[in-house]
Amino acid sequence: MTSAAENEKLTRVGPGTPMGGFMRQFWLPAALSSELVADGDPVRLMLLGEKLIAFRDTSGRVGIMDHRCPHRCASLFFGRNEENGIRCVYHGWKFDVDGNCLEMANVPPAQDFKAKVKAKAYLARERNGLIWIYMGDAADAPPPLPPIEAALQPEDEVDFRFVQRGCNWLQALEGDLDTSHLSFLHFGAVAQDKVKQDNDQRHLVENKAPEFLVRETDYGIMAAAHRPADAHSTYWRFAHYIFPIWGLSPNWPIQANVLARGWVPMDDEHTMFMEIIRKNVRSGYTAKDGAKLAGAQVMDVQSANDTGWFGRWRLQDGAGNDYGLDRAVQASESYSGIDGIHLQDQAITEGMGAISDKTWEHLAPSDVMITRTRKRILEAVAAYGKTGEIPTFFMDEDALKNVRGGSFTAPQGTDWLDAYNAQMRIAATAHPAPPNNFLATFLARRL
Amino acid sequence: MLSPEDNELLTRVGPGTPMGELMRRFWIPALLEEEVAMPDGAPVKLRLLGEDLVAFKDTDGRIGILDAYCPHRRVNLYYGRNEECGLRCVYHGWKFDVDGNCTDMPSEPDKTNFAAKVSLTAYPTEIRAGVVWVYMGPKEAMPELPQFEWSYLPADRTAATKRLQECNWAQAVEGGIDSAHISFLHANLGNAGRGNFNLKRDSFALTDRHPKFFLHDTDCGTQIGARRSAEDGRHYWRITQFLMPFYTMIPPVMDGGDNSDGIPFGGHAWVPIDDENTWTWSFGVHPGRAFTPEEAELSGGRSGTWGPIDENYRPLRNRDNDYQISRERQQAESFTGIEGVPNQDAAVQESMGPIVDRSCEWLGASDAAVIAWRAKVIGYAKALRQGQAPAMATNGASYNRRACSVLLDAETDWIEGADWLVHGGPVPEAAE
Repeated sequence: MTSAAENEKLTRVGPGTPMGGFMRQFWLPAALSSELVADGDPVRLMLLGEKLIAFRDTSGRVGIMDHRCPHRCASLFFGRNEENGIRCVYHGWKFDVDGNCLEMANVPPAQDFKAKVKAKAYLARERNGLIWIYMGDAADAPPPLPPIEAALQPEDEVDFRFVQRGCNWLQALEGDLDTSHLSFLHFGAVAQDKVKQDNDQRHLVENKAPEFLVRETDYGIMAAAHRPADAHSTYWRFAHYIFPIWGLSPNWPIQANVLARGWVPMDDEHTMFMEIIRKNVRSGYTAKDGAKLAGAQVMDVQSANDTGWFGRWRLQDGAGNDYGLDRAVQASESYSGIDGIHLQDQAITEGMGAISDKTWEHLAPSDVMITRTRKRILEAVAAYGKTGEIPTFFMDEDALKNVRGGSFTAPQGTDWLDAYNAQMRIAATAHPAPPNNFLATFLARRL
Repeated sequence: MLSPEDNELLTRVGPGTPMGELMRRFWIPALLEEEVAMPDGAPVKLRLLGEDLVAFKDTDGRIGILDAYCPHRRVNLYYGRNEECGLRCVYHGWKFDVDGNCTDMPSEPDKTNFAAKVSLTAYPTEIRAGVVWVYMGPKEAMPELPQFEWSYLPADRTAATKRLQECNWAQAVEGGIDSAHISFLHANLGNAGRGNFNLKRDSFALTDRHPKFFLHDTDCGTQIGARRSAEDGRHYWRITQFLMPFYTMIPPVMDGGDNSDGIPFGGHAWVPIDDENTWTWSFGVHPGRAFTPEEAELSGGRSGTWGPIDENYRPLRNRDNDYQISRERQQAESFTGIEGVPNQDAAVQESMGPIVDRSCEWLGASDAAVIAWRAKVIGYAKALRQGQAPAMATNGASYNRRACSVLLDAETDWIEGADWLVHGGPVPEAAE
């Protein structure tokens, strides 16, 4: 069981908190590149409990900084994004993307002190269509961006999905680690005889109580659920947790499943889910007759973004309308009566309360990946608090080369890691990972 | 930059706080007379200095401002019945007059005199030119009403309106004494002569954007001179008044400077509702003549210079809609893309958060007035805590001042040179 004190430690991410300090040492995805236009509107970002603004300057560089002008704390959201800097509309101070004060227009030249003043700007990088932010201490020698397979794919070969969730990051992430819920929340009402034999998800419908294996890794945790596929083989589903916010869930067969799901804390009670998935991975959860399985479609209906702190990437359905729950559908066709896999997850994890009270839980053997991941995180945060050191897997360009979630079938009796490694060898030949140019450049520069 | 302790002292105004006690030594604009226009009309919810109050006009036309909570079982008297010279609680029928006396206690047997023992906090009120004033301090320290021109002149020469500002009072006042920001926040693009959205503005505010600040203590506060370079070696002075504890006067554009051109004088009171909300009062006065109906609408109406506002005096351009900022207009027309000077001010001041964290600021030479102002009001609050009451609270005449804009030769002392412009007109005897 997770104690109240441990829950606090795991869930609070604001400045000065243990988890907040730990998370700030990693690059986090902040926005889509397409959200910022050169000299366009500044965008409000809420990240780790900090109110930030992001903008793209005339030269195309991205700036992300505390939204308060360092002069008198007026919000730079109202600022003018012009000529390679953002200018506060209160007294005209202007800052570049690095936070340097370029102009202090209301101060007599003799008393100008712009060299002393900096806006609190964070490092921002762009790679393959995503804007990343580093909010940690080592701004002079920041770590490289994480070499997660999906994030290394060229922009035009992946789909991005951002969806805001109204609860703490951890309970949201834990949905990706808990592969047991699929047989219920998502496919609980699917009759066995409806699923095609060549759809490997049929095993979820046929056997809803798999057993689990877990091990710690340099980057976090890996786990596998297994159940008999038939008399001679085993059906495996592998998932990974990568520090600090990533879930690689076995949503698809492992040979196709180039997928990463990040759960970026906006504050303690709001999370930005951001998914990168290689195009054409989603084959669709179809029934024998070709129809979609009820309740199992991916169909997020987004609201239009607005400029508020929590105005980006919201779903239309939510707590306000019980996520569109239809009791008649629940009684006949789908387990939850809520339409769409993501919305179902959204309903369950938000329904736990903004920060779920983990002292209420009764964790079962099927929750072993959750238990172990919490422990792994708590130990890593404690170690960071003591020594200031974090897991440094991202320094190795190849550290995540063979890290992919997914499902497959292997001969009965095969060791779980042997079976996994065999799959990853096939994957490497079938679709070699693209070179990690950024990392190579970074390492070259350091040498 | 302020320490967190001084920031607390500056910003907290509830009962018992040093700044709250200081403000309670002064008469305070409480509400517009129009809000309690009808005898026996609906009571009005009022929150001032963190206290929940209720205001009403009784059958005889007297205004009462009472603690909102009935002393019996703490029901909010806003729901009460305003009838026959008193406000009656709807829970058990207890009734109170404008002085807080319990005049009826129908739920108790006749022979008890419990009613005589019960009273409710009632604050003294006065009406001046359409504004109901209240005094919330100790009875033995009753102050004088400040003799503002907009208070003592006939109602047809004055204008008053208010609007909700959703932040602490101090960061709002700081906008009122900060002459530097007008070159930016309120500026139009590529049009030096006119200010923003048809508001007249002296061109020197735009040609010299880094004024030098000078401060001069007055009997009721501080006179703040912002000096900018003008033509022919002269200086353009924009002279603002700060008057204790929360008033500012806006320098009018130069033209005649003495109202001979018919431009009214204006000012603000930044009255704390609580620590995180403020009533921003706007006053106007024509010392020499009555407002025309159009001018009155512009200076005091709901959709004039200080508006537009909704039925609860909340601006229609507010933080919920990002003050209706238009990025297109920000590109093409004005510095902010937000329409309306008060909305521009509110946008930046509210954007600092409900109470700005002054420990993270970087103040420059152009913030001299803000720095001095903080020290002054904190000083008065600390002095009162030591037993020294603010002298200007009992010197109403010292408030008869004006702000001004004036061109002076480089060698002229700014205090002497502007002296003929900074005093109000003669006070009619009836108003003394």
